[in-house]
Amino acid sequence: MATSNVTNVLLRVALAFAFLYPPVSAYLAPYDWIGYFPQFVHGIVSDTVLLSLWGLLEVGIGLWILSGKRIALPSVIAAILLALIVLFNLAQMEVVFRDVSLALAALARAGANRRTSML
Amino acid sequence: MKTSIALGIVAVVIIIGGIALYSSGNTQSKTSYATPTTGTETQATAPATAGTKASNSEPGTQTGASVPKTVTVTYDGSSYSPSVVNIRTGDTVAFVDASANPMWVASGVHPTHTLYDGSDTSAHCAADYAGPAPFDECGASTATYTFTFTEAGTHPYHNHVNAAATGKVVVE
Repeated sequence: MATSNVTNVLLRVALAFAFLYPPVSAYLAPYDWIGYFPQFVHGIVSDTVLLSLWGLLEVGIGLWILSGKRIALPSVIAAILLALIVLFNLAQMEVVFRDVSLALAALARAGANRRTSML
Repeated sequence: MKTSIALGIVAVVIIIGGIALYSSGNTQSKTSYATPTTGTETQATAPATAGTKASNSEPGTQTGASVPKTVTVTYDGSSYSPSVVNIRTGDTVAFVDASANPMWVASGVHPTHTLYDGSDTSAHCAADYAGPAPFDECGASTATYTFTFTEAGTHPYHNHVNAAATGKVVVE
């Protein structure tokens, strides 16, 4: 049981970190991150606002995952966001390949919660 | 359990296969090197206009391997054309922004740009940088960016503010 809890916490921290680090880095070096947005979203709002809104979403998802409340929902949302990042940046696969692993880990987290709930 | 493992293996194979297929498709628009005729070198300083063609796609007369040439690559706001150009050491590539979207040409890998000479963006774009000219525009704009390649090899590049736009410069 204790091992299961540690595994659960580690997985949540791992996923949360993937969502909490980028907003901090984007605040310090916005040009390093703005390039990952697909071209069609540029111009809807300024790049600064775009990064801020995305950052707020990431912080929200990250903290939600950390909290563990209704973990399946933020996990699925995280998996979808990560999959979208990969799909829109296939040309940068040497960088975003890790997001494939993170997305699958998020799905595993969501699935594990569902299995636990059913037991 | 065995079914799950089999499904997992199939999923991994499909993902890796898809990525491999996508990567191989990226090399389809490769152009061959041909020495352009005298006069095309001025394209490097020509203002950006829509429909600018790469000078190496035009038939030309071989005038000698030692004469540096300029090849034009056009950015249309979402991608570079041609996405692969073949040049020789000492040749110049002019990256022309034919769109209203900003362009920041830089060596791979995004976002550190270390592939061309090993230095990263924070170093070679610094105001006090004193090393060799980096393959990095070090800023976003719609102006034409030119770079003379002195290192042989395959040099991937991208638009730093639209990282999905990528290309390669093959220097012989």
